[in-house]
Amino acid sequence: MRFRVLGPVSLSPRTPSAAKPRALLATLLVQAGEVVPVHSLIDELWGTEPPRTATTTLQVYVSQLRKVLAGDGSAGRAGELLTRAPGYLLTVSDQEFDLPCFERLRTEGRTAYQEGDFGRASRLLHEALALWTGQALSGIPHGVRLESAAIRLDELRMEVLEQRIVADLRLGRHQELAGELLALANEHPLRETLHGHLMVALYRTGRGSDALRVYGRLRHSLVEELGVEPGPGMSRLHERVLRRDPSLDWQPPRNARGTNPDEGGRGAGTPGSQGAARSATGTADGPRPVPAPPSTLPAPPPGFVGRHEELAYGERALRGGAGRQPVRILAVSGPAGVGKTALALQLAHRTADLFPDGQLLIGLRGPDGRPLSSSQAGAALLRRLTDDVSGSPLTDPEELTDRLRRAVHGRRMLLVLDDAASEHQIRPLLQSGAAGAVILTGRRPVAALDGAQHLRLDAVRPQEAVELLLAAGGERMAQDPVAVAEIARLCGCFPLALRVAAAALTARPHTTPAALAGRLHDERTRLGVLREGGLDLRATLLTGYQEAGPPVRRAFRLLSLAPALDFTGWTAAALLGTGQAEAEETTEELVRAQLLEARTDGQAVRYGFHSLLRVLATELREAEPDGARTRRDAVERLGRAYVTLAGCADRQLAPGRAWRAYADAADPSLDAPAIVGASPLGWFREEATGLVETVRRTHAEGLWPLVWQLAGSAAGYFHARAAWEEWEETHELALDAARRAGSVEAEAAIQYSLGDLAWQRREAARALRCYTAAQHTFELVRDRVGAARCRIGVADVLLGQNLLEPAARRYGRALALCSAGGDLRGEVAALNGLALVNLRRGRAETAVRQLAQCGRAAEQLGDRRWTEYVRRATARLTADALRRPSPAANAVEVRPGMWLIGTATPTLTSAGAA
Amino acid sequence: MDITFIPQPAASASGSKGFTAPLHLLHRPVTPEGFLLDATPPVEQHFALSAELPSEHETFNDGPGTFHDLLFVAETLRQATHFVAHQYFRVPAERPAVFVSSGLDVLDLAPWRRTGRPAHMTLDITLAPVDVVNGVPRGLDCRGDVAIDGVSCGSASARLQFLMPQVYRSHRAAGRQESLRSTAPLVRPLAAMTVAGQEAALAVRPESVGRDDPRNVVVGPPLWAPYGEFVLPVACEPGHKVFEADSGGHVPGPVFLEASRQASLLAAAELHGLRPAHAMLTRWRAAFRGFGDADLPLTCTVATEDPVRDGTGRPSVHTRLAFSQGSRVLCTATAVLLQDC
Repeated sequence: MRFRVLGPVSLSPRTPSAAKPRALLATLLVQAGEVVPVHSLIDELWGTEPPRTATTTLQVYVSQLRKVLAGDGSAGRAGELLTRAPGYLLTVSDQEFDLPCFERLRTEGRTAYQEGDFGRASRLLHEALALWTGQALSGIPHGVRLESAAIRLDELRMEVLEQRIVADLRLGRHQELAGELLALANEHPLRETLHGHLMVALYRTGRGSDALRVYGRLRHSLVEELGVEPGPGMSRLHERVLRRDPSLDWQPPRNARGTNPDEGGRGAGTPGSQGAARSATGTADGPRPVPAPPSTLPAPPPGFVGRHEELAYGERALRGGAGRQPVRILAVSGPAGVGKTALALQLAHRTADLFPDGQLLIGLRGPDGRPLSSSQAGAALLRRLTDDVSGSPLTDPEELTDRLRRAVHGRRMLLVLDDAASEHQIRPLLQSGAAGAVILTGRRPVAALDGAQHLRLDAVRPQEAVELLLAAGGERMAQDPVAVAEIARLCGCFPLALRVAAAALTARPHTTPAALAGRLHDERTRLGVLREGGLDLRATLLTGYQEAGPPVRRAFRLLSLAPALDFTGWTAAALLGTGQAEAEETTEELVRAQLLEARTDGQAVRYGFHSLLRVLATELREAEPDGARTRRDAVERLGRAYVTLAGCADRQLAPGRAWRAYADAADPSLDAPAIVGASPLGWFREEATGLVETVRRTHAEGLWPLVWQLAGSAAGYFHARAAWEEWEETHELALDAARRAGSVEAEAAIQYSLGDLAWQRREAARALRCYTAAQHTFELVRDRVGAARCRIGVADVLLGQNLLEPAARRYGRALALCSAGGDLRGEVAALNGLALVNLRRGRAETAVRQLAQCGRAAEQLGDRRWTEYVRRATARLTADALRRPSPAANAVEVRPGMWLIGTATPTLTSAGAA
Repeated sequence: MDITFIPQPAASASGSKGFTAPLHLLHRPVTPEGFLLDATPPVEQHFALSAELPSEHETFNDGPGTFHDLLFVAETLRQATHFVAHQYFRVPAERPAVFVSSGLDVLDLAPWRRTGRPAHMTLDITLAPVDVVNGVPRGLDCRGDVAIDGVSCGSASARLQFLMPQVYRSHRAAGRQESLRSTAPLVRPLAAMTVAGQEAALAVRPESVGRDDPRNVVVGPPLWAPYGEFVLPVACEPGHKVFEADSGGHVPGPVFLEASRQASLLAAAELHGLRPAHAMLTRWRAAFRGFGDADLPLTCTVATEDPVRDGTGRPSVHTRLAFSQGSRVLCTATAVLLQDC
């Protein structure tokens, strides 16, 4: 056999080793004896964008082939490659070419079967199948025509195979067939006819229960994959097996000719399957039904899990129902790598029954990554529909639309248009007006489509992410659920990232999920780890970035510096160094480009990065030539913005607390009161994480003054919320900054604040250390208010240790200093302290009086919290005598919201008190 | 102006139920009204509590001193919860608070080991009201995170219920009746159990339950041990600061925790060879079903399971406990003892 296409394409004695010449040979072979135009050949070999030298190259290949064909000179000429306008013609003798042999044997076998000569039929069909050496037309790249030819040939083979099986079943060879049929059924889980044959074979070999199980599996597969029940023929067969219908038993054929009256008892029955319906039995049957065109949709990717809600939504849209019309266009949008194409394919397969005329996938991006023009897209669709490769590319959109309409006319088809760039690109495709539907995938949501329903895909839910990892990663993943959850989290539940992670694990049999999670931990190298085989996460994520303009790219890079998980307009403005309106415009652009996410909480819009995009943005930013400088400037701008806003909020929260104003640090362009709003506590709550992170960053960048200014402006909030960890961390950093900058006053202020922290935590010794150190420094720089405040702090500690006299002395002195210095907050604190001392001494009236003074000072200050506290405390004092002891008798409110519980005995001895 | 301080922990002050130095309990407001007015709506509230861990106290960490005493943490939490319930959730004083369930977990053992230096504990407490009627909750759900010297190392939880005085009284009466009716196990009177008396040989040695002072032993020698289970009497020294009930009152909460620990230690030491001085209670879960009367005998039944080893190979023993008076079960608990080695 010199020429082979039923298997790897080969030509003996010497098959051309290069792929393209082989492909050329194959194209000519499948149309042997016909003239194939040059254009078709070029299309087949090089697709839609052939190189300029295509024609010449083609001629080279042709001469190569001719050499081989003429080649050995022995055994005469078996084939000739002739030039015939407008193309070429290959003639081969039928004996030397496997395809006509196969077709001949097939026809003869079928005739024999129809005549009732099953033995001969089986023999002939066996021979036909023996010609095959593999998948049809394998080993070469397939263009459109070769692809359809290959599919057609494979189908033919299946048909012959089934016919042979039926013949063998007639001959009673069910025993031998069982094994083969089991393998076939496994390979083709959705082919009803095969399963039917298998059931019969099993039943006849006494394995009726296995036969039933086969039916169950088939039904399950059909329902799961396609949402349909097995056809009526199969159900009838199933019933008969259940009933143990004696007509199912094998009956040897009565004679070589003529029909067996018991037609219905044929095991193969007539399963009315959908898709490839083959009725291979009986003489009484009419002409075979026209096989439906094979769906040329690629199979959905293996291991597709999850997305249940989205699939249900899409299916509902396409099927309609409950009074709604089925939708004509379903537009799936989302960032690159989120699984749009996979979802579209899955949906298409699920709704296959709605589109009897088939389903098509058209990719709308050329091999170089650029989107196809609308005429190219139209031409691509036309080619698939009509197999028509005649002549010139269609540039006239009218004509294109017209031909499309004619091609699609009357067909109920599903078009999956993958990676659409714009509405303009797909207009001709949509206008062709099929009676079917279109599923559109694209990164940007294609607006302005009539009658379209939109489905937006985002990262999957954590549970689905874990499912995906388990499905794609296999056994090893299943053994370590904790690590799997961690991997899902580090991948941001992003489908492409999850797939790459799973691939990274399966490619290395010696690693464990925990090790992979460890490698993914470092943000700086995470994208590098997520790269396996042909899947590169970074490349996919970059697609959106690369399509954006320079200002948007810059914004993407800079906004990765946002200190918290999400941020609002003013943060963006600070980082970008522009006004707020301009910043908001740019961030909205980023959202449209799917590089940033936005959500609204009813009042303000908050923007955020998906974790992987943030990693990418950070990488890009650091890779810029002046990355360090840019970062520093941006951090400085952000720090100043925070100081301004936090200072404004702090003044509202605790008036008078910060007696050292940082006027120079404030940014006058920020409308602080408007941004902070009416609730300073709420603002701090939202921005606290960002603020703490900014302290860390300014410290890392060496912007010392900003560090202590930030820490100082947040101290009031930390105090009110008893946020001890954050308080400690920010102030330790601020202390370090103050020391490095050599600013003694700043150091003192921080020390004082640290003293407050220690006191709140009842760390008496540490508190005293801090207060005394700060006081010393304040006195050195002649900051009277500061010194007085520290005195009050020391007095607080002493009071807490029940050393009333020393405490009272200090309170008194501090009060005098504060009044002289006009420090109302200090007065409030000192008076409160004195009141508590007198309370402890049992002098209730004095305490009440001092509390009243304290309250007046607080009112003057405008501090509502303290005013209310004084009122509460006074009320408790005056009512205590009358009421029976409350459960809080053992507790005293010493500050607003702060209680001292349990009486103390002296634990500290003092020596040489001042 | 200089003051030198020589910190010395004090003996327990009267009326403070055994605390050394007072605690600071801070309310952490999240709402404007919480911040300004210290308002007390019946919603979830957060508090921070800070205290120095006792280093020399007659009950807390009395013993070999290997670990900080879990009892102190539990007691502090209990006291704080009581206070907050009445002060912030406005539960009337006449409604007694009873614990329905309680739990403690040691998540990281290292900070619990005593180093001889003073150690500081902070508790992050969240209290959520349950079943709010007329603005006052009938119950409180309490969760706390324990950190020692800044290292997060444990968690605690509890569920309280506030009973109407009527209901409380009838509960107690009914419970008492039931306990009296059913046959009590053969128990010798409490006075004969204390080591201060003659029968020293028959009492439980303090070292075997991780204590030094015999007055801190709350369990007695096993009465019988069917099938590997131990039944021990539970009683406390009269006048004990922590474990004694108010007169006519019910068995205080700390007794159950301490008794669980001591009973588990006895059983584990006896059956599995655990060394009490280096065994730490790392998990305790208790459910309370009824009040115990302080003047009726209380027994504890403890059963152990075979030791399991953790990741580093240390053995831990799980125990199941049941406290009963007569045939009435007051409390069921499970505990895990870890041998630190």
